[in-house]
Amino acid sequence: MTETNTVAWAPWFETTLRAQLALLEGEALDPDRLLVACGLTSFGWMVVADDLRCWVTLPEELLLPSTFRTARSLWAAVCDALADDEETP
Amino acid sequence: MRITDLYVTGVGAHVPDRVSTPDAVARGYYDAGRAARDGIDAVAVATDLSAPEMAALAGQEAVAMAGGIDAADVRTVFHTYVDYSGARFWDAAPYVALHTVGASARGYDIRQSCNGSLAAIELASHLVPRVGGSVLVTSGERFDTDGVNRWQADPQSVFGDGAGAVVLSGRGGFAKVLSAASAADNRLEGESRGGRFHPNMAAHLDFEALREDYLREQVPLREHWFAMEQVLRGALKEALADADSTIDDIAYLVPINPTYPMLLGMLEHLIPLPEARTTWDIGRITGHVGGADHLIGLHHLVTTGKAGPGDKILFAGGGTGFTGTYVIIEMTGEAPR
Repeated sequence: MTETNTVAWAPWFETTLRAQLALLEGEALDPDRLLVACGLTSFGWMVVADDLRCWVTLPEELLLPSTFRTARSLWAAVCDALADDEETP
Repeated sequence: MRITDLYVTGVGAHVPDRVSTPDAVARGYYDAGRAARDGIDAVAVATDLSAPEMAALAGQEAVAMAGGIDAADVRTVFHTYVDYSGARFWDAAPYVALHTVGASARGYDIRQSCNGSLAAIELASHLVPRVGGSVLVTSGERFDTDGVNRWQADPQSVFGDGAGAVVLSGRGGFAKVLSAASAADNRLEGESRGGRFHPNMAAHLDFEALREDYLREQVPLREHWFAMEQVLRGALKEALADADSTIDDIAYLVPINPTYPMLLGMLEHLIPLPEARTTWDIGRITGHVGGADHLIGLHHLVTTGKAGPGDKILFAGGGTGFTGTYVIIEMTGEAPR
């Protein structure tokens, strides 16, 4: 896990998300900065969701604008999905 | 649809004074963070004229440019807009028709939200070859009704006021309409109403909240995006094929005017053209003028001389419904000055 401000997220999460953040350039990924301000638009939501499938499948009910609002909200959704995966026999 | 006998003979635009982004931030209208990311330099804001009045001014310019055409020859006016147009239980097209081409032209309001102008051009392409004469297409927008905060209502665009117009004729002009293609998926109509109806017309407009409700309760994101992509890619493929063109043949793209990140997304995911070949240079100083974006963009390309003979121009539109329309024209001469 990588410590970024107050959120510890997996390196693959940041790598996957950063690939769609055209306006972020070399800056650190602030967990509470609006992702749309970093260049993530609704066009990119599906790309991020699909690219994350290498590690986790976000359920349909979590694919919402509020999920893609910040890195923190997206990571929270990823964690929920990972927990669900672990609970599934 | 391949189009053989439809020409552009006149264009017009009316863009009111602009409010700069720094000014809007300083006055507290526009969030500074949004301003930094949206890439919009200024937004056109009407202070006196209504949307139909601005459309009439744009229409008068287009008819004047069409010059050799007798106003009586323009038998039909298609007028389009997104929001309230200054009176209830009233249609705006007859007003625009009266103040552009006279009392006997038929005026029809065409409501297809931001896709309205392109839908109207497609309708004109069916009408003109059959009944002759010319068609005036106008669009006029003003986004300051109760509950609409032009600066903050939609994270994907900032709304501007203004109007555009185009005269289409079967008897030649300075540009030829090569093709028009539309595709629709009406299962997506609920997006802009949040999947439910709202009894109060003055309700605060918040597109992000409406999208959240719609995607949660009506059509899941994956299904929504796949359907919208099918519509947009299908219509684009058809428009290019019917114009005997590839995307590389397109000199200019006239899209709706979203924020800069949205424009980049559109270019990356849907229409692979460089930003320099779009009308972003005008879009970033008008804001998203609803259905008038396409007509103001065309006016900009034509009157600045950016587009010249041989240039193919692709118009890309999408409106609530969801309907996507693409129109391709080719400049065949210089526009009258």
